[in-house]
Amino acid sequence: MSGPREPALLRVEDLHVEAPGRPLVRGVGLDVAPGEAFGLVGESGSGKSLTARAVLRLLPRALRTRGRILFDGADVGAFTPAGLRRYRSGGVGMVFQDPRAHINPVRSVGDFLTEGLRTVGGASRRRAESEAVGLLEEVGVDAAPRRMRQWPHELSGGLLQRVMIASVLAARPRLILADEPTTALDATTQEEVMAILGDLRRERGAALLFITHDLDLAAAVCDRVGVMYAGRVVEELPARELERRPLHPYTAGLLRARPRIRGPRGRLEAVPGRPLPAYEAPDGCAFRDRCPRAAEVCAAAPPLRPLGAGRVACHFADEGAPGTDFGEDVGEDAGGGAPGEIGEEDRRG
Amino acid sequence: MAETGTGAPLLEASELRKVFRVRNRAARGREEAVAVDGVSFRLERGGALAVVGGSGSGKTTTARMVVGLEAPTSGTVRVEGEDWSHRRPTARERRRRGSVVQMVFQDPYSSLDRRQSVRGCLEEALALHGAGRSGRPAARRRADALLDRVGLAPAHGGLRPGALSGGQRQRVAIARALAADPRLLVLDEAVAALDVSIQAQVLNLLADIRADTGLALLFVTHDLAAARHLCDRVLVMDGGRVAEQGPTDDVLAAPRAACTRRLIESLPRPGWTPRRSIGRADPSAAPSTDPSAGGPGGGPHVPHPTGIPDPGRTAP
Repeated sequence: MSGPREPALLRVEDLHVEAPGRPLVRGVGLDVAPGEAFGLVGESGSGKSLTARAVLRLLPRALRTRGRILFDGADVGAFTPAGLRRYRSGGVGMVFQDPRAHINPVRSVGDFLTEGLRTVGGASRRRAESEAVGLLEEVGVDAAPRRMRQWPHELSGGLLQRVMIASVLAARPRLILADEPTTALDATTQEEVMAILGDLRRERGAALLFITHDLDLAAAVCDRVGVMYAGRVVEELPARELERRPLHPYTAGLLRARPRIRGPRGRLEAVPGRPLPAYEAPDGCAFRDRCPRAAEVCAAAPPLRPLGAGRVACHFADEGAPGTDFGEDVGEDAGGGAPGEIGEEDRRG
Repeated sequence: MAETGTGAPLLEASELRKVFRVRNRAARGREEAVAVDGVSFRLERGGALAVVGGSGSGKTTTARMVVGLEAPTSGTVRVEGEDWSHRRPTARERRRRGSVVQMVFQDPYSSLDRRQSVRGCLEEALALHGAGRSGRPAARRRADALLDRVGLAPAHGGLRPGALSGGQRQRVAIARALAADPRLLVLDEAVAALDVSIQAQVLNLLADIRADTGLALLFVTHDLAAARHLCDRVLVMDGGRVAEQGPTDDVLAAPRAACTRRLIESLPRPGWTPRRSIGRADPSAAPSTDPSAGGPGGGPHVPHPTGIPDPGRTAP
């Protein structure tokens, strides 16, 4: 958040989401610049998926929301039904965790892909079909013409997730919103899907809001990462900083709790307790019951304040605070020649 | 029973093979899908073996054959020297087997009865394995001891699964498995769905139980890092076959099989640039003529066996 930035493509301002008597999201604010990849990381109940759904105005009616969502400067909350349809069909594309739950099982892959092209884009059947085949090829689906005639249940999860991404591309969105898009996939397929998302994002200049529980993955593919806990953003940092020198004790705890394929074996340093949803969390700092550094001052909620290259909500955080340098984990085999590449993508330089 | 076959390994799988018959529209009829092909391994008493692989590698089918949920098409599973795979067990034998091998599944939501209290669930499992009728004070004490063993409070015993978090539910599933006092625990992606901070707790819990009681673990996972923390030995599967097996540290330090290297390289890490192994589909390339080829979706797509197979027709 330091230095001059382009005006945000997506801005979430002081977002609150509440079920009757139960706060779920408590004042989330974030900016995603055009073309930027922003990772929103959190455990169960942190409010990350609710935030994503609020961006799309897809929350159930029973939930009350406050705050503003601005897309390209326009207030999403004030969209007319027609404006909302345009926003969802062309402004933002969504990729969900379980493509099987979001792709109509009784219609062919071809029908699924051409529907939007024909109804929104007004293309003829033939043109829509050839465009859909092109999109499938772009996301690495082989034998695309045959896939068009297949049914969702005939495709593996990895393949179906590509179909989902192809359908998002068809709408040429400026923001891709991906909620745990690879969580149901194995590591190899995950790499494949993230590579496809990355390529397409760069080529088409789309921004990415990437929701995940996986800190490693978010840090590896995003420019900036926000960490959510109990309905709030507790830390926001450039991805590389977050991996090496997290500011918030919760982030540091998560990083230490991960099993690693190198380094010391044996007992993991688990974070005690369990992640709490906002309505169960204590007043003041929501993490204080689980925090090794908690003190009396934590009874007062720490504000999200600028620090270094990011922001943090912790009374104790100062630069390099939790005293954990995770940098040593960058193995010598960290991918041939890769280290420079992320820097080049960091368009905010 | 414990003394039969002293000297034999706790678990020995030889040349396990499982073929599912699946419907395939494109092939106009039924065809065979080989899920597991010639898998052999041993697990000593108190040992911990990880079975690692991507989707469709056959790791879950292998685990299901070990516990008897699937009958192998050919090959044998021996537990403490006794052949478990060539005869349909009687009800009494099934119960006896349950006191040797127990299984914990990925999703405790679907593996626990959501209308039964945690204590009721544990007391039922204890009663089944000869620990006295449920509801009696002795059974209640043992159920509370199990709760304590997995890090839950007696107060959790009165709750139903729906009132518990995912991590707590998985602890209940582990406690239920421990009620039988087994010698082998088969874990099928048992920590995959848990939050990072909880996953570490459950991995530590499993390591502690193993250290304290000598319980052997067969840990089926796609997560190499979790496998490394829990298991001394690892078996990597690919396309239904054993790609390599050996001490975990050796395999990770110097992987011999291409698929192991691929699994290691696909882990996100600082400086990682995800790669497309297949690249873009080349429209000029000849289309695949193999109807079963799943294409670039993580190897050949072996249809997931659950729900599809017809064990009666494929059992020997």
